[in-house]
Amino acid sequence: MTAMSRPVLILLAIALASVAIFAWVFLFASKASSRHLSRPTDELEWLQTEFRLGKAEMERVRELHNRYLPVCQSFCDQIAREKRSLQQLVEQGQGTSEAARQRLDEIARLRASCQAAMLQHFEEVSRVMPPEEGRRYLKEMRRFTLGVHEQIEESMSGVQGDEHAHH
Amino acid sequence: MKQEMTEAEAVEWRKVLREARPEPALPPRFRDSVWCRIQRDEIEPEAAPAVLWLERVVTRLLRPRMALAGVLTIMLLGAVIGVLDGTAAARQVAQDRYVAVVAPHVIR
Repeated sequence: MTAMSRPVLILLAIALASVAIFAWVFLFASKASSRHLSRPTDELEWLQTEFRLGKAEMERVRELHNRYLPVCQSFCDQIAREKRSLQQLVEQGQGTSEAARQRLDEIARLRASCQAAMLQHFEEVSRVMPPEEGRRYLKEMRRFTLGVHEQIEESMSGVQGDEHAHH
Repeated sequence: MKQEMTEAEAVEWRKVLREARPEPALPPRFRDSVWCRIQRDEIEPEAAPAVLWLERVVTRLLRPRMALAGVLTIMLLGAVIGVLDGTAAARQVAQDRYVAVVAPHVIR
């Protein structure tokens, strides 16, 4: 072993040991805190922590949430039924038939109604929150829901930031 | 009065003195190892400043107090960053759960 390699090897061993210790503690702390902070039973947990809602506000949000869920579920069931029907037509070679066209129109109509109900729910929830948090909530929910379509449409049209460019 | 010692007497005295103070036996291959070290020192050049600096750093890092402080710092750093990461992950899971309930993929 040359005079240079001995301290270099020791430094390398120290660095490896440091990385190993860091990784072990990091993973342990990350898993522990993640497990400790998440409450899988409460789906409104994110609203409470993210938008700093008080107990009364949370109760009102929960009420609105419980009222909205059956509406959403009903629309989802109808959409699923229409999609199954459309799928059968496609499998029978009638993908371009009038019946298939009607199924597509119905799916689009149901989706639009469901989205309208969803947006109305977001509006109602935002009004329960403090004004600034409500605006932030609406912005976030828009990004997670309608924003997805905007991204797809923009990527397909090749134009960004100009909504009227394709008219 | 000072008496001069002859060469023969001096040899005789040195022999008597050596016998009076016996030298311990050298370990096996002592001479060989001494010569090896002398040869190695002649072949290897004097350590460069960078090597000396590295040696000093390593020596410092391996001191118990320094090593302990280093390990504790790394553990603390790992714990803090780990907790931040876990918090962000938990937040993301909660957010995804809420969005999946109020806006299922079928209507987005």
